[in-house]
Amino acid sequence: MENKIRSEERNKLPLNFKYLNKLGSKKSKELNKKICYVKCEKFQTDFMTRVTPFKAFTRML
Amino acid sequence: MKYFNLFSSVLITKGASRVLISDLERNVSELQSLDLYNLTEDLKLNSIEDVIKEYDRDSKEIINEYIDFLLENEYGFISHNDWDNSFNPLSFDYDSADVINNLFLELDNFSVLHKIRCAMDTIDIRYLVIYSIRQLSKEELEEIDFIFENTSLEGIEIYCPYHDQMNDSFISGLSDQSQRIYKLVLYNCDNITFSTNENLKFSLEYTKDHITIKNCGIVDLKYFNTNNTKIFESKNYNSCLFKKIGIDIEGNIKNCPLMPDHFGNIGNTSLEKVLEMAGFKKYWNLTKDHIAICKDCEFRYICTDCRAFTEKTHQNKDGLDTSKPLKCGYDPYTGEWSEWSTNPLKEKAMKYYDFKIDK
Amino acid sequence: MILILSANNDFTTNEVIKWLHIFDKKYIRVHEFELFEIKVIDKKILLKSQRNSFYIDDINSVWFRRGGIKFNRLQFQNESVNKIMNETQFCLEDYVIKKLESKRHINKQSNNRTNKLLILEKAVAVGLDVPSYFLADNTDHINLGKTITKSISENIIVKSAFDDFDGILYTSIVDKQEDEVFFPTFFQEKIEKEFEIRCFYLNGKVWSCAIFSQNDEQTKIDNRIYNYGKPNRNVRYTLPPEIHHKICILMTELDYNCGSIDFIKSVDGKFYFLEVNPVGQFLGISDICNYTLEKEIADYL
Ligand code: SF4
Ligand code: SF4
Repeated sequence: MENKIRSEERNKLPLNFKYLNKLGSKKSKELNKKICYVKCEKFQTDFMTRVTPFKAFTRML
Repeated sequence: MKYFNLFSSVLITKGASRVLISDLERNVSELQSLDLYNLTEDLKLNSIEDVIKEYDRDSKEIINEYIDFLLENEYGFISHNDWDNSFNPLSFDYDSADVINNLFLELDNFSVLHKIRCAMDTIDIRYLVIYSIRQLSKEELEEIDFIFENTSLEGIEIYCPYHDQMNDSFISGLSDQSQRIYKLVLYNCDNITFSTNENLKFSLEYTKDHITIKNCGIVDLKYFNTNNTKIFESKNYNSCLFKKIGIDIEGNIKNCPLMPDHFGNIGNTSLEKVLEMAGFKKYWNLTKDHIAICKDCEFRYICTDCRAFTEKTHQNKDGLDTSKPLKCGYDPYTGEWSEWSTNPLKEKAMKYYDFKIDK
Repeated sequence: MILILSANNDFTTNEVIKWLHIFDKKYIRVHEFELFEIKVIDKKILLKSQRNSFYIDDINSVWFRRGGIKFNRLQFQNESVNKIMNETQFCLEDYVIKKLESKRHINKQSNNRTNKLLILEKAVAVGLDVPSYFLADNTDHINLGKTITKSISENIIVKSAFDDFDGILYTSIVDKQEDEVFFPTFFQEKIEKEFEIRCFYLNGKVWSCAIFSQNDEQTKIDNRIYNYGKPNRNVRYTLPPEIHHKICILMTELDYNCGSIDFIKSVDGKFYFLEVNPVGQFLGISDICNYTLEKEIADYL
């Protein structure tokens, strides 16, 4: 898991850069894929999260 | 002395013959025996050593196994000298920043959608569920999505009949154009002219069956949900009808389009007015704890209720129907599931609702 | 009128705004890239951007969440004029910001930088237990395996540090002796913890959540390394009154009236202060503990 950062820099970095972790995992990337944003004028945002409902609203199948 | 502390995010719901352990952080539930329940109750009052002392030699081993099971699943932890009282119980209050959580619409005429859109200027509706009795073209599906462009509506799910124009480019084109549709269910789908690819913005389901809106109300394991919101809601309110509004094919506004009581028509009244009408919210506060049979069922907080179709056996003093949902085949007293529609005890209610009785 | 200084994509802001609608409170939301012009109409100061336009007198409360009010600074040809006009504009801008901050508010734009080192000193001064810490550029006097290192910067994300991943500077245990000297680094004594405590502070009130991560090797050192299979246990918690009291003093000293605060409860029963973040994420603990903090914020504004 060697990171590129330490070899790229000419100046010395704090020691904790040596312990750099990867952010997220494959799994979290998969989870993120499902996040959709919609625009909402009322809340003045272009990034309202489309959250999957917490239950089935109807049960016809 | 050692003491067992149950984590506050673990909810044990006691049923007549079993218990359900719901883990509100891991969003899973599992069935366990009443013995385990009795043990956890005992461990609330006595130290582990004292509890074990009460049992004879043979049972001791089982008790130890149960405690191991609770610890292994991280349902609780052990403290020394006393219970750890610095941890506070979870509050099961339910409070959400919406006026209407979901609107269930039986769609024919698109003008209703525009009316709903207008109502959204004053009341927040989070989700829209559309059951369409007729086929919808790609343009119509896109229009549904477009009508709610830029509103506070978070998502739309649509049930509509399949037709043979529904091919890959139809589906992927709709996915590109739509924003809020998160679920599309095609019924009457006897022939699959599209591939289900995973990169759609919505989930796509299809069935050969002819689905009518009267199919609604099915109680089945696949519809159970374990999560905070679900459980907080069902502990305090009716798990289907709270913050729900329905509009039937004629435009009648109801709590759910399949219920008999209606409160005006979308053509001549507003959703806002209906919400204030006496009786509109009469089922909103009816929890499973007050419904016959369900109140003894271990699934009662993860199960979603139905008041449109019930066994029609019980009524409370306010005239509310408190009978068990008709389309549930579970018997909490035996712990067994059976096919609800062939249950002879349900025949009378089925006739009432005009359901076909197949023998 | 409530003024919300935030980012267009901030989820927390959206959740608070939903409650503002329920409470029927009017608000103005400012995004991160908006540039304001200061105008005067009928002797009243008006702020105007592409999206918004409001008199500062009409604002009753301000929530500083992200970004802040940014101004469109004019440049002038003559160097000396430019110098004077720079100062003139700065005066006006500073006045506007201070004016807004004098209203009911949640945090301040002028005080949004945290300095982890200064905060630790203040925490010691108000009598909180702080794991001993120091700066060093070598590992000569470091007790290996018993010392942690972490970032003193607020931003801990390193873009494209790995081939297909960004990097993140979590708290790590120092387990190796280094031969070479490095850039001054923050070291702190590693505390054997029973659990961590994440608190949310708003104007004298504290909501706490105990986070058990000890059960799990993967999250032992830094509970932000999220374990998907078995997440940590999070439990509503009440801090002892004296710790609560010290938090209030610390936050007042730091001039924050809102923020997230992290503690460790050690195996020997002490509460060790770790850090404060005035603009932290709090909806996670709010959901898990059912605190509805987004409603508390909307209510306060
Ligand atoms: S009350 Fe019954 S029919 Fe109506 S939406 Fe709920 S489950 Fe469906
Ligand atoms: S409807 Fe059936 S499964 Fe649901 S709570 Fe009632 S008895 Fe249990």
